[in-house]
Amino acid sequence: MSGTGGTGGTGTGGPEGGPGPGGWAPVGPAETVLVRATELTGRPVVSITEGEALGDVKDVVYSPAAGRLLGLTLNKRGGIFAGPMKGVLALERIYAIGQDAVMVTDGEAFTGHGEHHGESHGSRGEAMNVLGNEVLTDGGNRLGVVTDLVVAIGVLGAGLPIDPSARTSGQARPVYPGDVVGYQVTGDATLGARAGAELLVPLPFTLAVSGANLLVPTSVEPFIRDDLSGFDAAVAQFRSRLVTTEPGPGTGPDPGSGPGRGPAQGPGGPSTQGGPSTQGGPSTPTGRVHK
Amino acid sequence: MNAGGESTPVPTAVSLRSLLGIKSVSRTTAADLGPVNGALVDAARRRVVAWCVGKGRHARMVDQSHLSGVGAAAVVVEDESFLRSPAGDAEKALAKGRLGLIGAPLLTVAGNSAGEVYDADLDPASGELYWLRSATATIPADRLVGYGSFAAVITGL
Repeated sequence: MSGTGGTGGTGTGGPEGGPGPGGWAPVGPAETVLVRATELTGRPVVSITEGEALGDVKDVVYSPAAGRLLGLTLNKRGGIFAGPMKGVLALERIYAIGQDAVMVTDGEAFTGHGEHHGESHGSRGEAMNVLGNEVLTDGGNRLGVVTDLVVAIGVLGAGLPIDPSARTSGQARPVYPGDVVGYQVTGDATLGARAGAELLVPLPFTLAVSGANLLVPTSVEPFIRDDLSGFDAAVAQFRSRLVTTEPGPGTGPDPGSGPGRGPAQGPGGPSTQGGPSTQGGPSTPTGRVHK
Repeated sequence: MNAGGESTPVPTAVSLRSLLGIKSVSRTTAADLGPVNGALVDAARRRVVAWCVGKGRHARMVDQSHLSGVGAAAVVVEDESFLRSPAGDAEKALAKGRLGLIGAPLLTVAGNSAGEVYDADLDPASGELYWLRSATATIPADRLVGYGSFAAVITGL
């Protein structure tokens, strides 16, 4: 897997932890890297203290309402005949999602008893398969069909300071590992030159979903990108826009912020749509980008 | 030099890689017990706790505490009666060549690859690990937090 470094960090602690009296000290969430969810497939899940692989990532379990992964499903190790493992490795039990492996603190992290994160978080939403769903703007335009998720990975640490209500209230917060910050869609025929192309659509903090449709603000269009380079910045700018009540001059998307700008929007940017009227919300830095 | 002006002894480190393949000898009988085939590492204690002598069905284990000397030519075991059969998954895997610190992939706790273990420096008397060495880095052994058949896991990098 190749990658390109990016900028920015979101964390409150060191990215790797450090030795402590008991061997090592777990840390809080650190800077993130964006990857496509399909890139996680096949990565080994490794026990930190035992150095053993518990399985390989089979798929991600995602809640659109929570805007985060709920966990991972696993395959047994041992090649194509190994088969899937029962249950879900809940996100809370994952210490880090890295470039080469998913790390858990010990072999007990995966219970294999069908633990389902969504059931324990009620309002944060249930897992939903969004692949194949249509992404529509609240202006009624069809952007395309979901083919992948863009996920922030990094060290989740011993616990994330995430307020479960933050997502539904639309409050801006940093991007944490496990957050799903965008969808990859196959561009709709109405997108002209981008029809049929794989496009990355940033997601707002709040997301209206149904069984078949995912509704995003029209203001997302200038922030659509063709690849992961600069997508973290696009997500940050888009989300920052959503928490700004009255975007003034010069608050539009940076014309040079990344390749593949979306459908034409002036430098002044579109009016705020789809977001709450939160005055002066903080910016939402995202992490490095991994292509 | 400590406050009293006395020199603090510095343990002599030896390369783990250099010990693999050398012969082991009984101190009581001078019998050749077979080549050193591997070291069992306790990651929590950051030390070698036992050695594997011989290979396959003939493999035997000897605890670090029963070594009387480790030199460039041989590992000397106090007595051949201290050789025992491999016990437990880790020792059996070591005896079968399925477990070994040398060549183990290095993973950080963040899930990123840091190469593989090329060598390790240890105190021959106690088995304490001082350093892990990869092709590109020398890593203090106190950053080793886990070790098994899949990887050696470290903090940092």
